[in-house]
Amino acid sequence: MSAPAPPRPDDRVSALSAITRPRWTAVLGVVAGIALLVLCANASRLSVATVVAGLPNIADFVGRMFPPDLSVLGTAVVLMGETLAMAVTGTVIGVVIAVPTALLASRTVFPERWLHYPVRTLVNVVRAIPELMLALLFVSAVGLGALAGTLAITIATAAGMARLFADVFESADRRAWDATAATGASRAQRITWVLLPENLPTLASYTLLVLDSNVRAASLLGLVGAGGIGIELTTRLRLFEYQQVLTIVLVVLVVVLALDRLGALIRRRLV
Amino acid sequence: MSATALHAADTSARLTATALSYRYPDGTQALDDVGLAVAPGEIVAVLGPSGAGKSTLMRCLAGLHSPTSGTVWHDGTDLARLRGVARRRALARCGLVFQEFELVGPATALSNVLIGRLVHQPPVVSLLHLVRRADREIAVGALLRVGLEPQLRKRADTLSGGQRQRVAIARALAQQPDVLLADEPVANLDPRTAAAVVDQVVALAREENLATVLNLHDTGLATRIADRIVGLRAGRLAFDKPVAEVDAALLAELYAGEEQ
Repeated sequence: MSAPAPPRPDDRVSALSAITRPRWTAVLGVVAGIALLVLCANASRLSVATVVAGLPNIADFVGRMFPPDLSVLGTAVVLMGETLAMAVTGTVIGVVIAVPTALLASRTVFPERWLHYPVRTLVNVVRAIPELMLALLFVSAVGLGALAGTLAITIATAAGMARLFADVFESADRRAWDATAATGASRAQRITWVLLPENLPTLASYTLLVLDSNVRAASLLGLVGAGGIGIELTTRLRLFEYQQVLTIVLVVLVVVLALDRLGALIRRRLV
Repeated sequence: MSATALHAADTSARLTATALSYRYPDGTQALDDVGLAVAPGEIVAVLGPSGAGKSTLMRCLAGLHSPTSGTVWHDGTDLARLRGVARRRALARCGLVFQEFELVGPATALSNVLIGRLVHQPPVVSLLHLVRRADREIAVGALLRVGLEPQLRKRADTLSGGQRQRVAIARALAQQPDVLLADEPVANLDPRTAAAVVDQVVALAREENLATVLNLHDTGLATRIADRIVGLRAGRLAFDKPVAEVDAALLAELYAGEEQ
């Protein structure tokens, strides 16, 4: 009767289910994160009071937009067509450049460091340039107009997609690739018979998403004179023609929403 | 054809491994002084506990791994010495079937089988998926032989496990190989499908007179279909006997100490 009683299973269960105290490093991390957020909010002049004080101004601004002035509808539609054309052309040519670039930049397809390393570096450098800045560069190179904007979108898409596609290729399933290598097929053959067919749905899905964001980018490039609907928007804003501005914004809204729905439909069929 | 009928295995063998050793870069000695000879039309099953080096042996035999020491001779050619096109043509003579099928999922069964003919295509045109008519006929013929006519133009990822492995077998056949290597070809299939698929592999190998090596973990299946059983344990050859001489005691010794 002197042996200690074995611990009851209930005791073990209650001990194991006790709430563990957070480690001090975790607490410190959370505190540091909150401090950083406060600093950022301060630096970005975030002030609830200003927003509240400004509410009547915002209401006034929106109020002056109504009713929309449909006299610019024709111009807006034509310019939106140009915007769409810029986005589509830039996306297609960009992706055509991006696919081979991504293949060269991916470590699994081209393990040769002298090849993938410089390509990857170039892609990252180009990717760091904002689209609007590219548009400014091309405006000074080829002059005002849609060509400058299309070139800016092409280059931005090529770099952005090359990076994304390279990551897709690197994380792709290697088994069929290796099995095909064992049949004696060359690397180029493995790319078009295995790697691309396996990843086509993913690539197409990303391309549609980028087309979407390129339409929005193309709507803005007019700000720097690179064609599209943006130039009309800035002109009307400077002339305080808010009712015409609303018409232009609505045209952009309808096209972007329609494209978004269309993209979602196609993506669902792809995957 | 039994192994004992092959008096001088080294001269009549199509695939020969001599003093084969393989050490992984991390220092693991996966194979240690393994010798093996397989004659045309002979079916050899490799058995052994997991980690015995069966898959490494397969990769060395296929020429995918270059042995640390020793040589694999395929009809008198040492694969490890070949480079470029010569190496790719030699690889093509060795058909491979894997545990996980390793097909291109979104591609059709036919497209997967055509991959087995790529090595014989003009390099640039084939990138556009244009394959010579004669080669397309070889691929279709291979699919018909494994009984997949209705699935010819179906996506590989819509097929059942057994059908996928048959596509992989057809891909290997389309290479018109003289050696067939299968690494746990039916481990992912249910027992009935597994038996049917292995029977088909064996029948095709005999028709084509292929030197065949199968890694299997099902000893019953192995003793039923093979001419010879090779036992591998801790990277070394435990035994290499005609199937008639392999009994339960020998197998128990081979797997001794392995947990269920």
